Amino acid sequence: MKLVIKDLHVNVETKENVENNKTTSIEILKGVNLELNTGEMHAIMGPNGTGKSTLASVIMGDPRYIVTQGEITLDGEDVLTMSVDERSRKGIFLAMQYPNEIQGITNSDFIKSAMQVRLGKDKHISLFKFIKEMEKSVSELKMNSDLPHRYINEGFSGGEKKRNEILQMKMLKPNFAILDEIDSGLDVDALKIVGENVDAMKGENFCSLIITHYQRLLDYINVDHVHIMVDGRIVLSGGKELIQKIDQEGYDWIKAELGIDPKINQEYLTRSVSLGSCALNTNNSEKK
Amino acid sequence: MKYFREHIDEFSKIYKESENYIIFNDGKPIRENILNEEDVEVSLDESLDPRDICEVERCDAEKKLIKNAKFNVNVKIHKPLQLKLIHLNDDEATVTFSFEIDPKIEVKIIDIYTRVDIKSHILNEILVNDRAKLDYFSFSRCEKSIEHKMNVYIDSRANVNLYNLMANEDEYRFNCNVYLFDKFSKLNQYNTLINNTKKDQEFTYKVHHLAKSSISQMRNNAICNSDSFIVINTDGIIKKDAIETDLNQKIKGILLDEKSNIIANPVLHIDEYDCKAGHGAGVGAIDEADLFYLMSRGIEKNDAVKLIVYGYIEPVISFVKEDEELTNYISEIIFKKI
Ligand SMILES: Nc1ncnc2c1ncn2[C@@H]1O[C@H](COP(=O)(O)OP(=O)(O)OP(=O)(O)O)[C@@H](O)[C@H]1O
Ligand SMILES: [Mg+2]
Repeated sequence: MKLVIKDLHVNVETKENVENNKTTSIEILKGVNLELNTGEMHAIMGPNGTGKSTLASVIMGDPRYIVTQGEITLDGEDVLTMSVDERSRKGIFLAMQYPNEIQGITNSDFIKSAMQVRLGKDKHISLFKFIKEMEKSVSELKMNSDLPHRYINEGFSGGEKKRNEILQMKMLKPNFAILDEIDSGLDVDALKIVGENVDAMKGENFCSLIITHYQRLLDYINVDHVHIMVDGRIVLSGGKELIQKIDQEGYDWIKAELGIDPKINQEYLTRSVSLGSCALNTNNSEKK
Repeated sequence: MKYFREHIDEFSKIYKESENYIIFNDGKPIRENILNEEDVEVSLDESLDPRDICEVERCDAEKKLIKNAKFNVNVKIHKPLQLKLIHLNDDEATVTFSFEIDPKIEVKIIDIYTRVDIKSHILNEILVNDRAKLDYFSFSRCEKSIEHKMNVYIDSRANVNLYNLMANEDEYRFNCNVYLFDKFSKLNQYNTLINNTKKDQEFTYKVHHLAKSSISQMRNNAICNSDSFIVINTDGIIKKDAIETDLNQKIKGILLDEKSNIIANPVLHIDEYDCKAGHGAGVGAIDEADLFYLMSRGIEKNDAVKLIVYGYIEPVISFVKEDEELTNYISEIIFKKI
C-alpha cells in the first residue's frame, strides 16, 4: 500500500485574544511532500514547533486543522474526504503525543469495539481469542496486567499512556502507523521494550512514520528513511546517517547549509530533495 | 399494597427471593424478605437520631419533615450482608427512613426509588458506626416533583462509598449531607445526574469534615439533554481542628444539545490550616479531542458519542453489574433519556 502526501498546506485557527472572538488563521504546514510504502520504516525529526505533530494529526483527520492546499492519497484514494474513523478502518493509525484520558470506558472494551468495527456487522470477534491476544500484547509490552481493565488512560503515568498507544497499535494491526514522540516520558527499559515492539511489527503490510527528537528510540527500531522537518516543510530526506548527525550537532548545520530562513519559498522546496543527498555527501566527507 | 400489585411485573425484575430485600409503599414496609431474621431489625418508632451522636443541629425543614411523617422507619443492620430497598409512593407525601449499621461490619445497600408517582418529601438518614464499611448505591427514577434529603453520618474509621444515579422524570431537589464526625472516617462519593425532562433539577452535596484525619472524595457527572437544566452545588466544609483532612470534589457536565444548561457551584469553607482541599468544575459539549481519539481507532462518530456519554454512567452503574437484571432495568431507563 502507498500513502502519498503532496504539497500539503495546513492552517490552524487561533483566537486572537481572550476578549474578542476573532480568529486568525496561521499556516503551519507549508508544502509537505512525503511518500510512504508498506514495508518501509520512516522517521521524522525536526526542531520543536515545526509542524511534525500537525502533519501526524492531519493525516489522521484532526478537525482542528484546515487543509488549504495539496492532497493525501491512500492507494490513489483521497484521504482528505474520509472521516477520521474511516481512515482508521482503512489502516491508518496515530499514536498521539498526548493521549486523551476518557473516563468510564475500559481500555479493553475500547480496543474490543475498535477491533469489532473492522470486522463488520455480521461477524463477531471471539472473546476467547481477544482475551488471549490482549494478554499476550500486554505481557510483551511488560504492562501492568490491570491496565486493560482501567478506564482509557485515566490516571496512567506518562510512560503507561505511551505504552497503551503501542498496545492499541499491536491489537489493531494498522498498515500505516504514525507514532508521535512515543519515546517521550519512557524510562530506559520502557524505551527498549517499546522500540523492540515497534520493530517487531515490521513486515510487508506495515509502514511506520516515527516522530522523535532522539536517536535512542531509533537504536531499537531499524528505519530506512529519515526526514527532517523545518518550518512546516520536509527540507531534507536521507538514510540513517542523518539520525546520528542530528543527535550530535542539532539542526543548525541544516539551517546553515540549506540556507533556510523562515521566508523560504516554494522554488526552494523543489530543490530540497537533491540538496538532501548533497548535504549527506558533505557530511560524509567531513567525517573522513 | 394494591399499588404494588399493579406494578408487580415491573418490580419482579428487580428483586429475587434469594436476597434480602424490603419493599416500601408510601414509606411503610409492605414486604420484607430477610434471610436471617436476626440480622436486620425493622421498627416504626422514632428511636434513632444520629444527630445526638455527632452533635449537629437539625435544620427546621428536617424537623418539620419528621413531624409531618406518619411514622419513621428504623432499620438496624447487625450482620454483614447485602440489602435491597425498593420504594414506591402513590399516596403519602412525607416519608422518612433511618438506617444504622453496626460497628465493624461490611454492608451493601441497593436503594431503588422507582414509581414514586406522587409529589413527595423524602428524608433518608444513615448512621455508619465505627470501623464499619458501607457500599451504598441508589437509583432514582421518580415520576413526580420530589424533595429528597439524605444525611449520612460516618463514625471513626468507618468507610463509606456512595453511588448515586439520578434519572428523574420531573422537577427534583436533592440535598445530601455527609458528616465525617469522627477521626479517620472516609467517604468516596460518585454521582451521575441525568436530566432530559425540560424541568429544573437541583442537586446539593455537602461534605462536612468535623474530625481530624477524615478523607473525602467526590465526583459529580451531569448529563443534560432536551432543553433541560441542572444546578449542582458542592460544598466542602472543613471545621476548625479537623486537622490532616483531605477533601476533593469535582464536577463534570456534558450538554447534549444547545439549549440545555448546567450550572456548577463548587464551594469550599475551610476553617483549618492543616488540611488538603481541592475542587473543580467543567461543563461543556462533548470534548472534540475525546471524540477524535475514539474515532481515530475506527469508531464511528455516533458510537463514539454514545461511548463518551456512557462513560459518565459506567462508574456508577458498574457498582451493581453482578445483578444483571437490575443493570438491564436501569440501563433501559437511562438509554431512553440520552
Ligand atoms: N491547535 C493549534 N492551535 C494553535 N497553534 C497550533 C495548534 N497546533 C499547532 N499549533 C502551532 O503550530 C506549530 C507546530 O506545532 P506542532 O505541534 O505540529 O509542532 P511539532 O513539530 O510537533 O513540535 P514538538 O517537537 O515540540 O512536538 C507550533 O508553533 C504550534 O504552536
Ligand atoms: Mg509534536
